[in-house]
Amino acid sequence: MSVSVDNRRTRLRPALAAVLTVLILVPAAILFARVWGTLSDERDSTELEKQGVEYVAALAPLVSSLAEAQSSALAGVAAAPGSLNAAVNGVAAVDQRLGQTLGTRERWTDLRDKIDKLPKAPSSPLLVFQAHVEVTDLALALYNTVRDNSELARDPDNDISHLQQAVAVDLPAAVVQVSRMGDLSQLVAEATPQLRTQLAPQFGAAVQSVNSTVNSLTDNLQAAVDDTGSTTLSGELVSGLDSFRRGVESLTRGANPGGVPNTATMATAQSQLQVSLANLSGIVSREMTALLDDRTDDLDSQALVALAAAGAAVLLIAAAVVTTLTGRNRRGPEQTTESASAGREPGATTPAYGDDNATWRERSGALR
Amino acid sequence: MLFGRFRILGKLTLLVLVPLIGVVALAVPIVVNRVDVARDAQSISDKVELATRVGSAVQELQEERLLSVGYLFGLIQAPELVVQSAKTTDRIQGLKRLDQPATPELLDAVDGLKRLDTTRASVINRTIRPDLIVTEFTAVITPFFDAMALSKSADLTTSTGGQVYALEQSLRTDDMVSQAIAYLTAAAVTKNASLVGLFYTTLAQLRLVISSARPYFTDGQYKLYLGALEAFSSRVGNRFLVAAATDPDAAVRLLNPKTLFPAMRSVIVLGGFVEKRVAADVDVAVEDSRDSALRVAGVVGGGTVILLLVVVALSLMMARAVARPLRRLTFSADRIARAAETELERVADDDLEHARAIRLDPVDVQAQDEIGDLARAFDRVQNTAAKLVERQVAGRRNVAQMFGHVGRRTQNLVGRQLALIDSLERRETDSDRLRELYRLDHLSSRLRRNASSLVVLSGAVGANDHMAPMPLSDVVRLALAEIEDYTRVDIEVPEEIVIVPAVLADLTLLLAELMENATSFSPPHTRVKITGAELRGGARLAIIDQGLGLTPERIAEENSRLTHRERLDLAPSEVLGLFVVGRLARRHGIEVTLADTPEGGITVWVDLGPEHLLAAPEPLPSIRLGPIQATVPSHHTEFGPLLAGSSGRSVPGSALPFDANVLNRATKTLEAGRSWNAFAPVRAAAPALEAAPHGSPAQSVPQLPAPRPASLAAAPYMSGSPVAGRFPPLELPSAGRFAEPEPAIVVEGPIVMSTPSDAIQLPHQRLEPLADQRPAQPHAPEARNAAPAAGPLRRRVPGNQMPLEAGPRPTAAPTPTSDDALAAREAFDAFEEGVSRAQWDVIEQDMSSPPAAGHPPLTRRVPGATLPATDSPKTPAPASPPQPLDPEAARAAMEQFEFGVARAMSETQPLPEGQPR
Repeated sequence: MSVSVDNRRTRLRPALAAVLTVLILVPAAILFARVWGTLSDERDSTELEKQGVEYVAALAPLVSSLAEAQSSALAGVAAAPGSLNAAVNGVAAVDQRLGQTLGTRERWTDLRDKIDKLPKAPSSPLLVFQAHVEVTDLALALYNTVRDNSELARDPDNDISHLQQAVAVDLPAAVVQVSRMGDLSQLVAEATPQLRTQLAPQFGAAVQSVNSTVNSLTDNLQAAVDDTGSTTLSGELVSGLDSFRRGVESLTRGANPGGVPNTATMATAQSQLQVSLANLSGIVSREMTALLDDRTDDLDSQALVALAAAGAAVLLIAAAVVTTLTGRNRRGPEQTTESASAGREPGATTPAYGDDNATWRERSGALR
Repeated sequence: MLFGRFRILGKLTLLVLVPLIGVVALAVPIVVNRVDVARDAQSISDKVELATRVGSAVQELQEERLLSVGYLFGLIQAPELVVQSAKTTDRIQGLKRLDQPATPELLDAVDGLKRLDTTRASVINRTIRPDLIVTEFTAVITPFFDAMALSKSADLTTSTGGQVYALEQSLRTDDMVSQAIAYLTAAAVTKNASLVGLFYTTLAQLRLVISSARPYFTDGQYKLYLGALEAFSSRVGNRFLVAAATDPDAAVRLLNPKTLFPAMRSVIVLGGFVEKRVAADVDVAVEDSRDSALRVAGVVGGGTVILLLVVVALSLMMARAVARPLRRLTFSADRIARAAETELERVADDDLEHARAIRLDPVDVQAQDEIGDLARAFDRVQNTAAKLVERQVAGRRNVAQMFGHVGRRTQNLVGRQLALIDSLERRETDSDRLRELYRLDHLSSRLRRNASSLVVLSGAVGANDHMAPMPLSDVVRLALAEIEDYTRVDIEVPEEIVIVPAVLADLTLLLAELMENATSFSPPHTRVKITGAELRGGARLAIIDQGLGLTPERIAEENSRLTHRERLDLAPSEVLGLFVVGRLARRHGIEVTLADTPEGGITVWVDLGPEHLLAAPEPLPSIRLGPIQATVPSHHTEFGPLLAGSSGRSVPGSALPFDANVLNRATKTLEAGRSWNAFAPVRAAAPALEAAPHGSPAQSVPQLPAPRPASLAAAPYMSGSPVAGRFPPLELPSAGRFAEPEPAIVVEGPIVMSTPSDAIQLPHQRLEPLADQRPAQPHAPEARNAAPAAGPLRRRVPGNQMPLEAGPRPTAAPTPTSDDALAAREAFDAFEEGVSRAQWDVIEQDMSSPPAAGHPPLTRRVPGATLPATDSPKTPAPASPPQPLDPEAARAAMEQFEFGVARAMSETQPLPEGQPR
């Protein structure tokens, strides 16, 4: 009776343990899969964003060289500036690597074609300007494409979000608007009165947009600095932003809205702006890359923790299984020894000292 | 001593506790201090974060101030200012919703924003002076810096504190820059020299603050700071700054408000970045210090805890390592002490025969340290003690064995002496010398009893040669024969109580000792009375003397001594008899109790249990017939000579003095036969003559009186000759009596038997038969056991009587029923005839007596074969009976063999103790 009960219990126990193990394992595995999926998603998106930052950083020289090409083309220089080719080659190299991932291949090839087809021969300045506006608009659109496809635009972190806004929207827009403003000021100054009436509003709009984009850039950078984990960002930005703004100011001063544009000032301002743009873009790109690297590290450590937790769970369960198995094996002999020892009392085997029969001796003595 | 009260665990704990407390006492302040440092660092970090938030918010205020000035002079449009105002209000109010709770001062500062409402309204209406705008805004901004109280809480001696101070300074200087820019803007528009003066004053303050705060900035921060200032001065131009100091009016003209204002707007932003940089640096430093403090606290605290745990665990383990073996040793010692105590008690107090080897457990400690040494030493001590006790016990046992050997040897010697005396008695014709011989015989009997007592005292078990049951009365008589004053003992014991053979020898000895005590401890003129009665299936004997008696305490003591085992050397020698009694009583489960005799003296109660008695009357008649016939042929030869002796008595031709002895022996044989019949019908070997008379009283008590008065019933009694056999030697040892006895005995027999309590006759009765029995044994060649008086015959009887019994049985059976004396006589004669015929048959085959074929008694007497028979008393009885051929020859051969063996052994070795000879 009791034996059968014991057997049933010993048979039930491993089954129950197995069921419990599965019941614990399944939710744990689900949780781990979810965490792991989230982590890998974030890692993927972070990687994508890094690629986007790289692309954006490559685009910055293109924008400034396009601005320079626009100015030089308007000034009547037939050959495109060398910086433009370098910038195009740089972007092409980057696009070769990342274009597929970011989905910019077609846009870039299109843009590149347009850049190649920019009117070299001196023609109507207005046409040249229009062609360059078209190309720079396409470049800005490429910025947007990169921003969207690399999910930089949807970054959850405050600082990166503001920084990408600054580097991928405000900064190129400011550069483009400032150069347009300068070129328009010259066009307006040289244009016929009929043409001037056509161009004057454009010029005024350009001045406005320069102000607003620069303010927006400043605001975005301020917001990014306000809420960032990077300790170097604010310090780096001081000089970069200052020089950029100074470049913008000097170009604005050179464009001299409402007055005669100062070409020399604009030329120096143009070069200064290019340098400061490269500088600022580099700073922001570096900071963003660093922040994204931090995030990658963080995700890596999280993944490590998740893996460790999962491994620990698996190890624990394995240990439990092993102990139950070995424990059952060990319990087997134990039980047998127990029953064996229970069968005979310790003192029963060897008769105690005075136990042996007193009469036996007497009887034996009697026989003797 | 104080430490004496602690156990080992307590002592170790005390030993460990003091340094542990010291460690804890040292560690706790360190940890607390580090935790405080970390908390301070955390609070600084919080303050710095708050400062950055406030700085951002205040920057909006500063921007609004600049925009207000710009709007006042139409440099910007109203929407821009309104948007900025909304933004400012939002940020300032946002300070209330920070993570950390806002201080009251900060809340007041935030609430101070309401004071700007009128200013803002005035700005929108352009009804306010620019310097008022600046001062109003400054009045709102400054409380924020004061509310944070960074410089108050900063510990300037530390680098972190210096950084915090620098942070506040940068905040304040930013505000000054903002004010200066506002003044400058206003001055640029209005070309008002006083505004330039205000600007320059602010700028001078700014420079002062910057230079004074210089030590608290790090190089990088200071460079940034200077950079920010440089951005400002580069926009206004060095010329203006130089001119502003000397000629404000001229300086004002250098400024172009349209280009200056946007430049100023961008400059005003830069200060915020510098603040953020300082705040970030402070945060990093503070976090570093906080982390290091926490690390130190964790290391110290954790180390202390780990140390505590390790020390506690170690001390516990050490304590267990020390205390556990000690405890085990103590436990072991305790157990061993208890075991040893019981062992020693048992060994010391028990009878020697129960002494067994002492076995003590080894001490259960395997430690190799001092405790182990102690344990082993303890083990040696106890082993030595055990050996000592063992040796003592062995010595005592050896002494006892020597007792036993001496006693047995004495027994044998006395047995042989008795045999000799017996033979002398038989040959003696002079009555005086015969009487002397009887006295000698009696003395020897007592001597043999003493030897038996010695054997009992030694703890050994005496040989019990009794094979047949015996009536209690005869046992009493046997015992009586072994004491000195047998004449003073009166016996009132019913005949029908029959004792099993196993206890006979010891019971005889027990009773003899009791009677000896009773007679020797009572005055000579008093008499000792022995009564017996059946009691609850058993029997009770009372031995009553009229002596001095004992005190109740003494009686109780002796009683306890009778029931409890006691060592020989503890029993006083005067009660050695009681010791023997107690030992025998315990051996057989006989209850012996001492009590006071009411008239004075001691009464000894001897209670025999049912297991000591034969209660076989019922099966007797039913089974008697069958086995008797069945066993007829087998035992013919063995018992032949004995019966021949008895029958020879009736043969007229052999009327010699020897006949008396032969008759005695036959009497005993018949006695044996009688008791035989009584208890074991299967082996019922008693001759019919005896069986008839004795069987009837034994069968049922009520029948007893019936045969007695009847002369017919008495006739078989007499013919049964136990009585007759005893009487002749009592009155006259001469054989003549026996020659023509029957009628006379028939008359006497009943008389004697009916008065068994007769004081005079009974002792004689006892004395004589016993005295006769002994002589009879040597005579009979087949009497192998010389030592015990009644033994040999009894033992021999059962097998041998069967055939003899079988013949007479048919004739004897009707005897009691017929009630005819003549018939009984006839039956008896026929029996005797049959017996003698059987005897003749045997004798014809008897090798030892070839010449005297005609006279069995003579033939048996003649050969002198008795003498060698006495030489070998130990001849094993069972060996010879089965031999169908010639018991005499076989016995002779055996005796010769044994004699040779005994001689060889006595020659080869110094008389081994186990062998009597």
